[in-house]
Amino acid sequence: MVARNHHNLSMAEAPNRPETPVSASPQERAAREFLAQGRFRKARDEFKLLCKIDRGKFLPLLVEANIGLAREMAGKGMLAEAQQVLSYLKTIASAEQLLGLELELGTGSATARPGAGLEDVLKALAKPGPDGAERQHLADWAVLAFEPVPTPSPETAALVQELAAIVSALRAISERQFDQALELVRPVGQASAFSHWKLFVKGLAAFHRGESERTARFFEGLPAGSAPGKASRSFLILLGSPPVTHDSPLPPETAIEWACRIAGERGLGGPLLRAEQAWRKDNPVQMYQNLRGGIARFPAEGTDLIGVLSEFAVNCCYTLPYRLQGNYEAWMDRIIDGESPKNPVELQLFLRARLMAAAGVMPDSLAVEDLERYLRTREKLHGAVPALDSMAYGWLGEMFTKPPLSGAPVFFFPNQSRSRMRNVREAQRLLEKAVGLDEENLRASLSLCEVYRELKQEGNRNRLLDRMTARFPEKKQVLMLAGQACLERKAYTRALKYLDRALALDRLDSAIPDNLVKVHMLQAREWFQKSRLDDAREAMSQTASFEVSTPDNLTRSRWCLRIQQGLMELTWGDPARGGRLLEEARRESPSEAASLYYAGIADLEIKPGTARGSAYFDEFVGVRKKEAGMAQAVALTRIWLYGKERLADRLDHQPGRLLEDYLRAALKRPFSREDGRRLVEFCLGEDEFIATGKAVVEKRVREDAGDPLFRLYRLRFRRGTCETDPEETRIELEEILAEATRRKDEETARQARQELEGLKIPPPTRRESFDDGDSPAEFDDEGPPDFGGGNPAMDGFSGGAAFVKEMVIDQLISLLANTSERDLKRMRQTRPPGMSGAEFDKMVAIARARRKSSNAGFQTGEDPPPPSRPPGSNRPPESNQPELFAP
Amino acid sequence: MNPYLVLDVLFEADNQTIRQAYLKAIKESPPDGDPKRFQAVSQAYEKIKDQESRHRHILFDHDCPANSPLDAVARYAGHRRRLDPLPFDAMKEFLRGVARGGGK
Repeated sequence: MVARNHHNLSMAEAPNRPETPVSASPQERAAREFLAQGRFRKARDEFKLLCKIDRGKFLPLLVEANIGLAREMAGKGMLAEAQQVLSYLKTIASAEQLLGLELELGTGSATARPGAGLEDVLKALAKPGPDGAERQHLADWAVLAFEPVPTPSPETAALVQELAAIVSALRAISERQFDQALELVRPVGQASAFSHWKLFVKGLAAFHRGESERTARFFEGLPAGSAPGKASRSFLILLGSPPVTHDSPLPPETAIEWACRIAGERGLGGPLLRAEQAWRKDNPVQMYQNLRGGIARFPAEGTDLIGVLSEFAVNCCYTLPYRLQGNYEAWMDRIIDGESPKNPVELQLFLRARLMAAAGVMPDSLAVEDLERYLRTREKLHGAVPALDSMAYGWLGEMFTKPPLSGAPVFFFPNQSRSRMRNVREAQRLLEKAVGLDEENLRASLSLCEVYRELKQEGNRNRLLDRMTARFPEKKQVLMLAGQACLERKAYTRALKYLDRALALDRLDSAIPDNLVKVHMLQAREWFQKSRLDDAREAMSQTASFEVSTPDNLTRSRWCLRIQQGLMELTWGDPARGGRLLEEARRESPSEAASLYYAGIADLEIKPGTARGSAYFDEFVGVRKKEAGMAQAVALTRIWLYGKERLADRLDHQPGRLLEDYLRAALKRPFSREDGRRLVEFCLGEDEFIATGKAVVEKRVREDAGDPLFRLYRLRFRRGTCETDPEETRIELEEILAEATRRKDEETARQARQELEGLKIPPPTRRESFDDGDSPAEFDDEGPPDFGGGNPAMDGFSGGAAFVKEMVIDQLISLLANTSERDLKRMRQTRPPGMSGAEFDKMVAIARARRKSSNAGFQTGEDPPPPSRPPGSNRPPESNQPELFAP
Repeated sequence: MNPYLVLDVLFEADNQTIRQAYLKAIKESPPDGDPKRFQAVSQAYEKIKDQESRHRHILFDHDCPANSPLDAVARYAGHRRRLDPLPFDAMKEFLRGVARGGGK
């Protein structure tokens, strides 16, 4: 279709052909139609027959059809065939009629006679005879001859001047003399045969000046079949136009090739066209392969065109729809793991892309292996950059400090909570490496602190913090962390020093005075216990400057501080003074229940050994019946959370039970929607209050059955207990969204929309099945352990995808590597039903090997050995890598 | 788009060179004159303004510079701003080539 349209004539260049007479025969009508459509061969055949009927009438049309056919052939590179048609034409047409075509087909012969052909052309142009299209062809030939301008005769003088102006202007454009070029073409008038060249010169000047809109305006006004019209396609591609248009006579490959040459690269036309076609057919793999196979230097790094194409070809995988992304990543996997990468840049780009896309879900050992391979490849290309390597190790290490995937197996320790971190040992190794490579890597240092805390390696943590406070004396985050660490080891004076420095750096961060008050109160308690009453009171008085008037602040509000001070006076100091302080606190607290409940929790904190709880809780029970209201209940939930944070596992059942009783009592009274919302938000986060939360929701829904927010809460409670299927959930969420929109409850609508979006996220299926590849050494004889379909631990995984299975096994091995020998024995007894003892022992062996190799790296300070190949890995051995790039 | 291309600096450029290129670029494309380019220049500068940003860009940046391979070519040309004109002999070759409908 494109070829057929090559020689379609636009309106601007249509010859002055008489319209089809009304009395024309069907055959004549058909012939004229073929000619008008640019179907020259058919037109020629028809007119040949018609000439036998009326030669005088149809001969000019036969000539026109043959000229069109010859040009079409020449356009396709069939020059010999075009010459044959020209030979035939010479028997039926005059020399003048064929001048344009002869020149077009015989540029070589014209240049052999300098000036002679050009003179003939100019004379032909000077005559009124040629129609629009023919004039353009002749003018194009005259310009493209780029010959010395002939001596002007009286009839060609004006044309000679215009031709000289156009050629000089094109030369001026090449030399970046844009103003001069525009000045040169100014005298060329609109009626001139060279007027389209003038437009082209103006477009070129605008293009090279970066004036996109003006360029497009000039170029789009050019006749499509003329030489400038064809040339302009390449420039328009660089402005973002498609390479194929209905009236474009230039093959798209040629247009793209020249566009790339203008942009500085040769030989990209074919590969780019095929890549574009594949991309539009939703085949990104084929797109990449076209570029990869067709461009020698591809992929490459850099700011040139091939660098940008490489960046697009790899990074496009993040923008693809899920299905295409999976295919593309699987293909990248095959290149990385099996087929040879084309060059080190490709390997580097693919490894990085795989890490970015999948490090969060891939087995830990694979992620580490990919990262180290990426860094090695990058080092070969760019040399060693320790700070960059440190950032990379820190990134993966930090990722391993995140909580494990929600679907990870829990069956080994049914009664224990899982680790907070995905792979704490590997995180430690990577983060230590990151900090070792670059001590300025603050982020890695902070994460490493967290890891040491998780592993209870207080010595390592303190030493690291000392180094950090020396290296980053002006970093608030470091000072806060150091203060926190000192607080934990009861080095209160030192903690105060760090926190004071942090406060000097940022007076607006409320966490700093909160911590300062905590430290002062703990220090006061310590001195009370040592009977240094004056020092203790001095420490307490230091909190005065941090007091706030808002009763909601449970650390620094006046009433809370008075309770703590009063309790300490009562316990170790002056009981009368303590009583006065408590009385003062009771007056300033938001409610009597709040002051008693807070006092009970503070009492537990001060006297951890109290056998039967605090006496203040007994008093609290007394006031509960009098004043239980939802607003007070919400305030109590905050105190409960405060106590949970301060006392952690020392917060026994008594405060929780008392709070629950209070909440039930409050539920019997009317409450506002806002108080109900706050209470439900609290209950959603605390397992022991879920029943109360549900009761609040049910009561609220009974009062207003359509309330979208509480319906959303109800759904969340149900989903927490797996009471709904996804389809029901979707329907319910859509109803909630509609109702929230109707009530203009934007926040609820946003939440419902978010949850609906969450339902659309597909399960993580990536990678080929490990069952398809070579079995790794560890499972050579039996293959990977099959947990069987009845294993409840596998129920959470949709589809039982091999990749997920592989991931689970890897996580199990990581878990085993971090487990003591005693626990391993116990775990063997409680292994999942589908796993044999032998399989379990194999996994333990791998885990031990992994732990050993990991520890060896720490002790010697050398780079750790390459990680063991995980189950399912079908990668080639590492030693093969250098050969991949052999020329 | 590649920030080095947008700011027209080499990969090896130091902080000072990059800052100078940034200041020059925003002078050429002020926010009220060419807001789109100003935004592109500002984003590019944020990505490579210091060593840490540059390392982060190398490791983690995954912005896709275009919507298709040909769009990448067009955007490349757009960010190069002023592509050099073809030398006169190459321009002759180009014009004669496209007039014939063929490439070379």
